[in-house]
Amino acid sequence: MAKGIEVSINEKSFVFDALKQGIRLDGRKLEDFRNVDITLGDEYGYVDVRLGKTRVVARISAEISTPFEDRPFEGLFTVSTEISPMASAMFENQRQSDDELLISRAIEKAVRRSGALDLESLCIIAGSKCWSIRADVHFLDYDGGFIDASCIAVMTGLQHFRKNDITVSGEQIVIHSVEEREPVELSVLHVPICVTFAFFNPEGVEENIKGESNNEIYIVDTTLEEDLLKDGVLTVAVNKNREVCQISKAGGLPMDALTLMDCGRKAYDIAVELTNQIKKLLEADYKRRNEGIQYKLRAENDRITVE
Amino acid sequence: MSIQADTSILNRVDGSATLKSGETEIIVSVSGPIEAKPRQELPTTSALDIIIRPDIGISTTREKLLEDKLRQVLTPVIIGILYPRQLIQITIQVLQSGEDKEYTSKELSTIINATYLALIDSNIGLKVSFAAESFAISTDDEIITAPSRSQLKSSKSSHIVSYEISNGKATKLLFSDSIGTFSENQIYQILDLAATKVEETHQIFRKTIQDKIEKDFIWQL
Repeated sequence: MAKGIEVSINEKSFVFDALKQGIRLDGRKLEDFRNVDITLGDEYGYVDVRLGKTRVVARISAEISTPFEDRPFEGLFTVSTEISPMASAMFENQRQSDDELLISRAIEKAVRRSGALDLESLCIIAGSKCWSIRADVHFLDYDGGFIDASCIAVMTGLQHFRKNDITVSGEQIVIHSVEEREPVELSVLHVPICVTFAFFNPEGVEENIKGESNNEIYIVDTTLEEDLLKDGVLTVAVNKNREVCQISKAGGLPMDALTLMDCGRKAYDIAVELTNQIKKLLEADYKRRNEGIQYKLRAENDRITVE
Repeated sequence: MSIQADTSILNRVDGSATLKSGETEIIVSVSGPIEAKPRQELPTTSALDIIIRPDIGISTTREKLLEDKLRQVLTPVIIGILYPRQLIQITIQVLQSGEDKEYTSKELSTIINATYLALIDSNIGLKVSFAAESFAISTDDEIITAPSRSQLKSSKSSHIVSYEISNGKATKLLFSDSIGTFSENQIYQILDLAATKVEETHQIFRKTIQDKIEKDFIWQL
């Protein structure tokens, strides 16, 4: 099988020296996030996210299924993150590497376990029928930042997706087609955004553990090359309400508590920016879909809200 | 029907192409020739590793069947003898299926076409060009070329036909697959119609490939 990409010692020292001077190979500053380019598809719940050269496509789908016996009032939500050799030859088909496992766990924690999707709203008949929402994340091209990109893709997808309207009469469920009734959106409670920091230790391990210089460098949103050279990694998932949903630190590089606080603050700024970008995009998409004859013929009218 | 094709879109593989024809959208990547696992290795020819991934859900027997059919198309056209004991890995990601799970014709014809472009992009040696088209026969015995999702649903039978193409002319039948009820006469009609349709499709691909080559060799001008 094709081996993964290896970085030579020369390249490594070049990248390190540049980082010490606060320069990155792609011309970004240390704390810059790459431009996020999000495209929504014609189908509901189709999101294409490009983060530099990284490209991720998320598909959201819904079907009716039975809830877990111990959770009769909750629907199901699964995120499938399987990386194919399309993204890079370092990923093998149907065999999960350690990297892949870390990526899928991080997404699982940030999106599913933070309660971003209201599972109780997916319940149809308690104990027997519920909606099962599925997010399939397809990794097409890899240049670092899989966690960040797929988190954006899944969260945008969940907000963009519409499921078919249903009517319940007794034990009978009628699923209405899109032509028959306007499909309904999912209830998304908050939008966690993952921001990944990579740590570099320019002065050797001993200095890092015993010393007090705290010269560790951290950078935001690594490319693949930086990703392969990093000594430690920190992923912060935060939403725009300043709620931290997840912090996971891997790689074993000890670091200062204040650095952690600093990273949290920077992650928040990035999260706010991205949340607003997603919101704007969804609004534009809503407008595009609802203009024209369909909009004029709709039955609902602007109701006056009484405070 | 609209066909949109683009090549060299992915960075970490040797060749890639995306193809959107009608409602169906496919992206294909080719890595090769690369080192094969000992059990895949063939002493005189290249091994083909074909992975088809569905847009929604995990791979099922449906995708395995598609992989198998695609292998039937590719094995005779790839010059395997150029890459003995090596592997050509083809990964196909369905982005938008454009048909219900019971049908495979639109997906397979787009996959065959997209794989052709990706193989060209990866510079793998091919004996001959090829292209495919999907058809359906409606309940009033009308042949529909490249049916839409709803036309396919109300059809009596669905067909995929792929031809070898040399010098812009369809020469040999490469692959044909039909599901449903139809008469012998109808299948001959479809085969005839397919020959002209794949020639048209091939002209579009020639344009795409020409654009690609112009782009790739711009430094020579």
